Amino acid sequence: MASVDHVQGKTTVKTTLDMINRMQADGVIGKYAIGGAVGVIFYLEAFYTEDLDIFVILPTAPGSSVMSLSPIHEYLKVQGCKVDGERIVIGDWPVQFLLPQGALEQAALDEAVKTDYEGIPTYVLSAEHLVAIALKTGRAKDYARIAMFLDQDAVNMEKLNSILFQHGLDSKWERFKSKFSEE
Amino acid sequence: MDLLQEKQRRKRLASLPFPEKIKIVERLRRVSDAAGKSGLRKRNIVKLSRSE
Repeated sequence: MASVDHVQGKTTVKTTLDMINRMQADGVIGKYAIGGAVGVIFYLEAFYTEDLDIFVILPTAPGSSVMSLSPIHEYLKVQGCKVDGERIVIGDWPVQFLLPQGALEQAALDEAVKTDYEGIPTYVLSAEHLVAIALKTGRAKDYARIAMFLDQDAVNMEKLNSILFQHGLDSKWERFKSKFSEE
Repeated sequence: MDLLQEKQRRKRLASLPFPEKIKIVERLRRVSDAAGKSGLRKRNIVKLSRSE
C-alpha cells in the first residue's frame, strides 16, 4: 500500500480523500463526510481555508462506548502522516476529524450528499446541515458562513427550518435572523 | 460594482465544479504559505481570496 509521504509537497485534496477512503475500507472509520469550510465551498464560492474538517463515525466494539480518534491517528502515522496539534496532515492538507457531538451531527452524517472528486467518491454534508451546525457552533466565522448561504439563496429553507426545529435551534435561528437583517 | 453584480459574480463562482473551486483554495493556500515566509499578513490573503 502506498503511503502519502512519496507525494507530500505536491498533492491535492484528491490524495487526502483517497487516503480517507482507504482508511474507511480498512475499517478504521465508518461513515464520513466533509464539513467545515470545504463543505461550504462545495455549495458556495471558493475562499481561503487552512484545513479540511471531516465528520466521522467510528466503528465501536459491541458493548463499548469509548470514542477516541487514536485509531485514526495511529493508522495515518503508519502511512507517513504527521500530527499537527488537533489535526493530522494527509498529503498537503491538515485534516481535523470530528466525532458527532449530538443528534444533529449524527443526522448530518446520515443525510450526507454523495459526490465525486475527480474519480474519488466522497461525501459532503448537506447545505442545510452545514448551516444548522454553524448556527449551533456559533462563532463569528460560522455566522458569516450562514450569511453567505442566505445571501446566495443556497439553502432549501423548508428543509433547514425542519432541521432547526427538530434539533431545538429554532429560537437561536430567530435571534440570528433578526441580527442578520439589521446588518 | 453594485450589489446585484456582486451577487451574480458570487453565484457564478459558486457554480464552478467542486474540483475547480478546490484548486482555487489550493492556490490561495500556496500563496498563504509563501506569504508566511515573506512576512505578508493574513489579511492580505483574505483580500486575494475575495478577488479570485
